[in-house]
Amino acid sequence: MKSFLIRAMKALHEPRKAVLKLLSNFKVKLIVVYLLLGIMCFFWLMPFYVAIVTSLKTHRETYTTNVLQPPSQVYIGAWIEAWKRVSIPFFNSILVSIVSTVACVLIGALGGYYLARFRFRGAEQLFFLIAIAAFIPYQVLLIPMTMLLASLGLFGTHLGLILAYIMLFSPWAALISSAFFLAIPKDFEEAAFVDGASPLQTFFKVVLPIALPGILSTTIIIFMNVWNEFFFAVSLITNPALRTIQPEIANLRGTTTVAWNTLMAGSIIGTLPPTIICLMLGRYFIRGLLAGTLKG
Amino acid sequence: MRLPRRYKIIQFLIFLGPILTITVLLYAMIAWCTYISMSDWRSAAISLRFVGFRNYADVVSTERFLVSLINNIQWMILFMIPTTFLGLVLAYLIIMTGKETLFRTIFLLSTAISMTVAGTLWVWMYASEGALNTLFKMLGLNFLVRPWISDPSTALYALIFVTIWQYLGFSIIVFEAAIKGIDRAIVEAAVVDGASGLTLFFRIILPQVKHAFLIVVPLLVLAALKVFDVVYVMTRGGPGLSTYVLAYFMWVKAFWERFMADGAAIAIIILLLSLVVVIPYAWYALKRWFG
Repeated sequence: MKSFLIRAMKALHEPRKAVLKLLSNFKVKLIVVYLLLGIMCFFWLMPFYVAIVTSLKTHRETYTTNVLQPPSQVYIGAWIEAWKRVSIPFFNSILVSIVSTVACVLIGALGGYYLARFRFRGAEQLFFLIAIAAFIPYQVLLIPMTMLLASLGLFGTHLGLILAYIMLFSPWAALISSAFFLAIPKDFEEAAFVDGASPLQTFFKVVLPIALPGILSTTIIIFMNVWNEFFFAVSLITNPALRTIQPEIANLRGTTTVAWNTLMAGSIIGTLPPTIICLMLGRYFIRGLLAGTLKG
Repeated sequence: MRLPRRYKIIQFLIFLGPILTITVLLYAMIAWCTYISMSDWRSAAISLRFVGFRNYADVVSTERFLVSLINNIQWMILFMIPTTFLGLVLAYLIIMTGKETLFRTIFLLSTAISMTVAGTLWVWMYASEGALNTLFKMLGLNFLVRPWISDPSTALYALIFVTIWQYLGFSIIVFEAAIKGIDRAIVEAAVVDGASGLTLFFRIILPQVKHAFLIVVPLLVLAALKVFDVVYVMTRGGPGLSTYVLAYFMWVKAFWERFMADGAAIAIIILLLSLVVVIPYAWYALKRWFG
């Protein structure tokens, strides 16, 4: 997996490699390619376009005019209404996501580093068990998790939800970060060991700074997963004041009194963190996604 | 500070202790869920008397279970095949243009957002006066105009399309990385031999990206098996039972009807089905990792 991952990552970051040039030099009419891609992109982006346009219309206009048509006048009332409804869940989600992500990445990176670097008896079995734990359907964990949190008095609290997310996503963080640790050279650590540093010192002072891009990718993947998680969020939090953003959007959708323009504005607010990350740190997001498949 | 050799165990515990604890807890939870699925817990009050496989027999014999299972199987096939195929073709086309960053970002946007939001956006797209029907009317395709998700004959397929819309970006980047990982010499040789774009695609690219299929297909199958959010947000299993899936059935049983034991039994069935994919997948990853 190591070699493939390195190759794939290199390939992703050497734009216009010779292969691409070769491929694009073909006699296949590029215009056809662009046309096909254009149609696909148009269709794939349409829901976003429609959501933005709808969010800027008045309630009346959403029903009286063509949905595809831009608003006759920009109306921000729906955004204000939506923000009133989702601001608290938004900040709840920020809190839950940041705390769980930091904990997952810390636990995962420590474990992932050890798995990637040190060979010990049972390492293969442990890797196998962690990999399966990362991929099992969450449904099977929900009832025991509910009982565990209830017995700790944490059911329905943010701390309970955070603990659930740490358990759900730490195995992921370990596997993803491990893939990145495998791809960095051992030389620096060996030098540090010769100088008498302990593995823990080496990890924080030598390895982490080198592996920072990989850690960033891991962090992004875990953050997005926690932010977008719905199944546990809707089941473990019952108090509306503590609700996170995804169940709140689902709840808005279920409430017939909420107009489409507000619902679209709320949905856009709910997607802001992941979309901003995707637009600004896209390459790290992609590396993380690839590492998360375990095979690059 | 140099740690004496006898403290090796301490390092092991610091590095692996937390993840080990979590892994053990997760497996304990699976065992616990298995036990609950064999108990008589069928009300708000916890009751854990062992009753064996009775709940499984009860659950499996219901119409809802059969419908859910068939829907999940349809979901797997109708979601996995187009997402894989489109992902490969689009990755190839995108590489041809040389504008990867732009196209990748466009297709990844729908992958980055949550299923909940994706579902919400598509409810509006599918509404009777929504964007999709409006578009069909503009194009003169009036026969396609219909209430997509309130019509039992189209609801399931409309929902499946939303998951394709979400996962295509993922499929594209895996195939893109695989195509770019192909040995340059092979491609060059084919070009020198005068291979056309299509020949190159079918004869060189396709066989060389086999490992990407082994990544995309299992992960998509797994996603289809776990699908829940889209159903919850868009249709709540309706109209009728037309969009019921196992994960939604499990949630309704456990958290709506309070038949915990039955819910646990469905969860275990989902787990067993997914292990068919997960175990070989993890095994294969292990071989690459340690092999």
